[in-house]
Parts: sequence; structure tokens; C-alpha cells
Amino acid sequence: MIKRVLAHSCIVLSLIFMVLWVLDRVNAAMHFLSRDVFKIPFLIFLILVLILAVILVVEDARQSCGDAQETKRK
Amino acid sequence: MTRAPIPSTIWTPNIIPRAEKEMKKKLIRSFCLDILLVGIGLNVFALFHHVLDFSPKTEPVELVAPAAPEPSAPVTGEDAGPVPEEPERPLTWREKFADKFTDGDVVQTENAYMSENINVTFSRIEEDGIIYHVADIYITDIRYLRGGFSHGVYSARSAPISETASLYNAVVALSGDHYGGRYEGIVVRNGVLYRESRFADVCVLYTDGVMATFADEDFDLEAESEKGLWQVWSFGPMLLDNGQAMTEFKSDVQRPNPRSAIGYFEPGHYCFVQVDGRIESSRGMTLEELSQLFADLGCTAAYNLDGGQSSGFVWQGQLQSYPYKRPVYDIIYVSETIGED
Repeated sequence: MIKRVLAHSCIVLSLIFMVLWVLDRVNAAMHFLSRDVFKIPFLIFLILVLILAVILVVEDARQSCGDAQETKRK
Repeated sequence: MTRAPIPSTIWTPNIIPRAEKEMKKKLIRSFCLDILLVGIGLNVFALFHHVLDFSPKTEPVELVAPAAPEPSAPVTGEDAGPVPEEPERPLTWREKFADKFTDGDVVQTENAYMSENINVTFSRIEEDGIIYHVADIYITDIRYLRGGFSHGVYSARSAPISETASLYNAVVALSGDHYGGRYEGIVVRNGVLYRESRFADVCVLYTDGVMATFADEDFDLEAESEKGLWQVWSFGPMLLDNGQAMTEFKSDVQRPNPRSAIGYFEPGHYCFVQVDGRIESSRGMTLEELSQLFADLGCTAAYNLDGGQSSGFVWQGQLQSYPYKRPVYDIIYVSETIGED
């Protein structure tokens, strides 16, 4: 469940940032990417990505370990 | 005879297994939900970025007030005593532009406004597929050329330019430098310093009526403050180099665009220029074209203000610019109402 929530949060935030990036290219004077209102969600996004990545890496390591043990048993 | 019910799978024309179908449905649902959340997220972002004011607060600092415009009347009669030899004094703006002002009447026509302190001539010009508006301004005192904040206060709140112009009883108003859309950029309005962080090229209107433009790196706020600052705008770029048209500018928007800009001829004589753009009848101006326009008008300094959808121009209460009506944070205006400066 937590993985799913994290993944969707990452999708949503990354899409928002892509839209803002395009807007910032169109009108740099609006400072879409340099104000605190951008920086705080961006930090949250980075943390979420990090947590999701760690979960996936740990899961992958466990799976690899399990597969190796199974192969040994066989 | 009753027939045994036929398993539904036989009648389903779609051969995709049910589980896969369910998964597809689920994926589409979650994709739609994500898009909805993106929309909500962008709206929340816009709320914090455009509407709510979280800009760092600084205490406004009152700078030097503009000098009294008129020389005192000569003393006559018995108290006068021996008449000392008067040193030659510079002409006041009222004397210098005497034919521009009335003796107290207000004369208002479709294209002109004339009173004892203000003279503004409005022109709407169409040439080479561009529509632009020019306000030629004479004033007797620098206090008649003012900066005004939307809603009457320094904040990151915007309002339609015609609303702000009417708030200040502006004869003519031009969209300002978009100070509320960012945290940086020196802001001085009507002799009060609101913000002193740097942003871009700077335009200064001194209390003696001189207007000058500076490259960001050349501007020293402390040194210039001693000369008496009446207005400081931070947007740019500067459009003239010692009265000569320029070809290179510090700006990301070089293409034809709606524009707002202020020009300076001499103390007491200024102009506002607003260019319509991004429409069939008017493509807008490049910075080079705008610079050339100010050189042709005879200005000695000129400065680009916030353009694009923010570019706005109000003449005698009527919005002249077209087609945009984006709310703006501030205006530059001319008004008979000079407040308590």
C-alpha cells in the first residue's frame, strides 16, 4: 500500500514540476522555479523519491537473495 | 424445458481475460486520479504563488521628500527693504512649459488633458502592423508622476489595471514593473523604499525630475539615495544608451511582444508607451523596435516595464490596451491627487 501511495505521489509531483518547468521557460520573470512555494514541494518530492527508491532497492535485494537460496536448495 | 444458463464468458465478444480487463480499468482509474491530483496540485501552487502573500516583509523606509516645486513669491511692500540682486535661478517646470498648463481650469478632450499642473496628450498610432499608445506628459511637480500599488498597499496582490487607475484617480496609467511577482528587485514608490534586493536593470526617477537607467551591476542604491529617489523600477531592460537606440538587450523576450515602457525627455517631460501584441492587428514590438521608437520620439532615457499579458494602459478611465486584461501588481500614473508626500 505505502509503495503505491509513494509511486502515485511521485507521478503527480513530477507531472506538476514538468508543467512548471515549461511555464518557467515561457515566462522566466514569473520565477515559478525559484520561489519557496516551489522549493518546499520539490524537497518533499525528493524525499518521496528517495524513500521509494530505497524500498525498491531493499525489495530487489531480498528477492535476489531469496532466488539465490532457492537455486541453492534445488 | 428449461435451458441451463450459459456461462457469460461464452457470450463475451472480448476475449481478454477478466483479470486483465480489471487491471486495465484500475490503471485507467488511477491514471485519471493522478491527472486530477496534478490539476489540484497546480491550483494549490497557483494559490500560493499568485494570491497569498508570503513575500519577505521589510519595513518601508521614507526617503528624501521632493523639494517644493514653486519658488516663494517675492516680498513686496514696506517690509521688502532694499531689493537684493537675485541670483539667476533655474526656471520652474511651470515656467519652462508655461504654454502647457492652464491658470486653473481643467480642459479635457478625447485626446488631451490639461490643467494647472498636468498636461497629457494621448495618441493611438497604427503603423507597420503594430498598434501602440503614447501619452506625452508634462507636469509642474514630480509628485504628479506617481507609482501606485494594486489595492492601495504594497503586497503581492494584483488587480485589474483599470481598477487600480480609478483607485488613484489617474488621468493616465501604465502597468508597472511586476514587483509582486518576485522577491527581488528594488522597489521605491513615491519616495518610500519598500525593497532593496537586486533583480535586473534599474530605472530611477529622482526627486529633481531626472530619470536615469542603470545596468544592475552599476547601480549603487546608497549613493543614488543621496540624490533623492522618487521612484525606482526593476524590470528592464534599459532601452536607450545616452539617447541612442540600442541593439542588444539583457532580456529573454526579444521577439515581438506586447510592451509597456516609460520614456524621459527632460525634467518635467515624460512619456508612456504601450504596445498591443500577439494579435492579428498588432504583432507587438521587439525590444529593438521599441528602443528605436523612443529614440525617434526624442527621449534621452527609456525603460521597458512588464509587458506580455500584463501590458496595460488606461486613459481617462478607459482601458486602451488590447486584448489582455491580466491583473497587475502596480501602475505608474499621472494624477491631480498627490497625497501627503
